[in-house]
Amino acid sequence: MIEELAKLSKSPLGNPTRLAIALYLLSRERATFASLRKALKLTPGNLEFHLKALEEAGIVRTYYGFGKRPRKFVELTEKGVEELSEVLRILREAVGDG
Amino acid sequence: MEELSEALKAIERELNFARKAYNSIVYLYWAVAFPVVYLTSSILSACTGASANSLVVLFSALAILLFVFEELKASKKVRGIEKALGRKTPLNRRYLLAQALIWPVVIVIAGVLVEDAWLSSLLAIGSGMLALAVVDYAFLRGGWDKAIVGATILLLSVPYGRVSITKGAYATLVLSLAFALGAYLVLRKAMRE
Repeated sequence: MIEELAKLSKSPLGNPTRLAIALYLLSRERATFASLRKALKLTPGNLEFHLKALEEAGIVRTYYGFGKRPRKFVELTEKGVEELSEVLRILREAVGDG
Repeated sequence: MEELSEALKAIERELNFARKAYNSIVYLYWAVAFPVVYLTSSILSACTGASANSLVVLFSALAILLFVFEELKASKKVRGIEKALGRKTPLNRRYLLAQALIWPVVIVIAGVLVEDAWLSSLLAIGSGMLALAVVDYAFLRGGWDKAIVGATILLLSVPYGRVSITKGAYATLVLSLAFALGAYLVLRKAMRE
């Protein structure tokens, strides 16, 4: 269990803010940058920083959609679902619920 | 550790609700699609003089294509949520095959037994939903919602042709009502749990 928890700290979702972003996206097809920032009460710079890390790890995908003005969209990737499921499994086992 | 346990339970509750909301989409889609197909065909037929029945067939085919696209997206999301919940159920090929076989079978049987196209559609969709409920029960021990939708359609097929609205309008109303009822029940249950 200790080994698994250590693995968790090295995971791209080992950070609480990044875990919250992935959880928010799991039940949605996609989210706009603005809605994500509002829901998680993050500053634009802070959210941008975490999204960049998650995108580099292949957890999320960001892209621009065009309407009246360009909007940035974020969605969870297949790898993101896998990684999030693994993190939740480790946490469930840690509290003895797995 | 207790806080973590509570947080995980809250996450599980939220994800379960999201999963059920996605499952209700199928009902909401058809509750909207049936009247849209009927009204669009009726209006276009009145404006252009084209056959209303041909337009209904054309728009129904388009609605089915769009449904397949929407359903694939929704089921991918549901599978992701189930995986995160640690309840991933492997895709059972026999289950998928049984689901896919039901529709051609009920459509052919209803078409052979009943000449009236609208009544035939009601009987095919009603009995198809009941058959889906049986398949769901056999494989997943679920399917009560599909059984209610199917039974509603079949029960409301009884006064068909005896009410003071056109047959097409009546059939559309029955189908839309039954699927809206299905969505309402699924979401109501999700909100209570």
